[in-house]
Amino acid sequence: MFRTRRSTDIATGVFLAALGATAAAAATGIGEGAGGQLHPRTFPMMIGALLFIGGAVLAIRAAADKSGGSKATAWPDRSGWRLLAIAMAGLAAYVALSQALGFIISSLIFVPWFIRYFGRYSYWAACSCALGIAAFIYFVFIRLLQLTLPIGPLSFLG
Amino acid sequence: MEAWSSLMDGFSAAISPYNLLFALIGCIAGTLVGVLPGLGPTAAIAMLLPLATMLDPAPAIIMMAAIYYGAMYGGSTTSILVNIPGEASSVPTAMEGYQLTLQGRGGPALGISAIASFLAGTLGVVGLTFFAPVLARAALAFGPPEYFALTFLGISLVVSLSGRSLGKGLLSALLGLLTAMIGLDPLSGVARLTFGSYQLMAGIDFVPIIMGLFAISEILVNAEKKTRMILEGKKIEWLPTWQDIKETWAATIRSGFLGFFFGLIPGCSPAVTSFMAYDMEKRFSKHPEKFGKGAMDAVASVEGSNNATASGGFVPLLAFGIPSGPALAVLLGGFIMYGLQPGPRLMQEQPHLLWTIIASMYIGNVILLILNLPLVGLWARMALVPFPILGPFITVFTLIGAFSLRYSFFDLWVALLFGVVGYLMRKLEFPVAPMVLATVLASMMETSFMQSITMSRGSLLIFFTRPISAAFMLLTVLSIVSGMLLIRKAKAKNVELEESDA
Repeated sequence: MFRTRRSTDIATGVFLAALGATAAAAATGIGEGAGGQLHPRTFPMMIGALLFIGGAVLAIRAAADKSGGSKATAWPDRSGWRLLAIAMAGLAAYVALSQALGFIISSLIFVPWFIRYFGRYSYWAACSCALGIAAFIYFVFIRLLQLTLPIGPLSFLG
Repeated sequence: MEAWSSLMDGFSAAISPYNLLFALIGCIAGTLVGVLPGLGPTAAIAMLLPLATMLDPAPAIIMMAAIYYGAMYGGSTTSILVNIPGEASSVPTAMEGYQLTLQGRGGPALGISAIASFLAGTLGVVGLTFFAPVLARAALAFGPPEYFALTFLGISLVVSLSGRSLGKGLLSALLGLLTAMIGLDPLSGVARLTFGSYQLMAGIDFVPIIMGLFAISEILVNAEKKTRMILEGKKIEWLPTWQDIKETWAATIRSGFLGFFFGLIPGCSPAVTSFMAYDMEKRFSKHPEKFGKGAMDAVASVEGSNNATASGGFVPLLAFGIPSGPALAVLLGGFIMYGLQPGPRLMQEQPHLLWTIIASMYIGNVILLILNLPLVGLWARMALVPFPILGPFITVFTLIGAFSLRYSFFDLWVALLFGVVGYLMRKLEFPVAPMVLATVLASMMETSFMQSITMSRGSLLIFFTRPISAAFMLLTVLSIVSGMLLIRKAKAKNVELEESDA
């Protein structure tokens, strides 16, 4: 399923048409603005309708094209999917941890994990990189550039 | 001649060690904020405003101006090396420059980018020196219909660049426009497509979208393949060759003119200029087939136009006190802090100060070239860092960059979401550039359309009856027709059109 360009184009077209229809339907609920020649819903509704038409055209043309659509879509193999899911989960965990523990501590956890998991480098190399990046965040972003970055339990450093 | 002698006076003041020192500080700070994704010159100038209060007006404004155009130099570095365009105007640089890095030509791409920035930036300052008052008046001829026609043209050009995927390019642009509709209506303030979420009320900023589409999706693609090194070849080059310079100088000069003229238009997004420069170069290039696979002339053109736009932006600022964008608005604040109101009166009352600032911009461009060229080899070595080490660094810098814009964790989730969208778009062969430009321009496009319709009391003819707007509309039609003809030609020959990622 979804192995060829034809099948992915059909699926994408259907998805985009559904997205366009949803947006256009949601736009009908947009309230009245103050004055002006056009209603605030005009643009979102128009774009939703165009997306619906465009998505439908993509799907219909792909369905009708039985000759040129056999080109395979470059999906990963089983281990590729696994690595992709792990990378995505790692990124999501980094964002969630940053929210809870601040950027310095979460980077100290995320960076060595990523280096060890995807590179099999030594603990020493992974921890050195993590310490380097944590120092950069603190000295350059927080101290030098004065960015208000959350640092969680390390707030005494701020 | 009067401008020439005033400029010489300006130079004599600008080369004083004190002024030179602050030009240098501004150039270094500008390059640094340009290199760090997400941090723009606006934030850097705003951060250094308190420091500037301790200085005389000339060195303070010289420093702030240097931050502004210095950031333009730095912006290309992460785009070329790690596919992180810090702002929308660097997106075409990332599209071509990163391909060159994968081929081991990241060093030459950075070198060409620095040289093009210097040449086109200087060309822009020449325009500022000699034609400022005349051109500033022309810029004021831009009203809402012209802005709408310009944004419409910008998006059409990028869609027409999608090659065989014209239909997918159009869908990509529509997705970008739809994303930008989320939030408050720019004119009436009514909430649209927010589904009751207060976070969506603030809208979706385009910077996390760009970072997701480029940097995060790059991480995902490499993680999936368990990439060891991002380099595709074994050979790596550090500096541009004479051949590279010979092949790109014409593109640089063309982009200098284009960038300068678009820089004159207040409020015109630099992204429009860089995408237009990219499109123009693809049409002029002797090797259009290289576009999307690593075209050096595209890098020169986009970076050149970025810097010339920065110089052009000083024309309406100095001539009328109209800032072209947020960074120049903060710079205007710097002028006002000293009791100086840029405009015709300032030109008469403080000519020495103005010419010192203009002269310092020539010097600043030289400083930036001297500062950046030796760093090229050093930066290019980044391509030798194995992906498992480079990957987490890209992640951390990208996400902190996305966070620092609005200090919102919501933006980080947006970046991750668009990382997945970018990954899927690559796999499904959807061009990313139309989505980026549409997201950036949507607000201006809608606002100027609404204002035009109000001006004309509901008539669409307003876009065709004003000469500049009509010319842009005509160019839009031409770009769409030429894109369609290209597809028909390719189909007739049964030859696959090259598929740029654009």
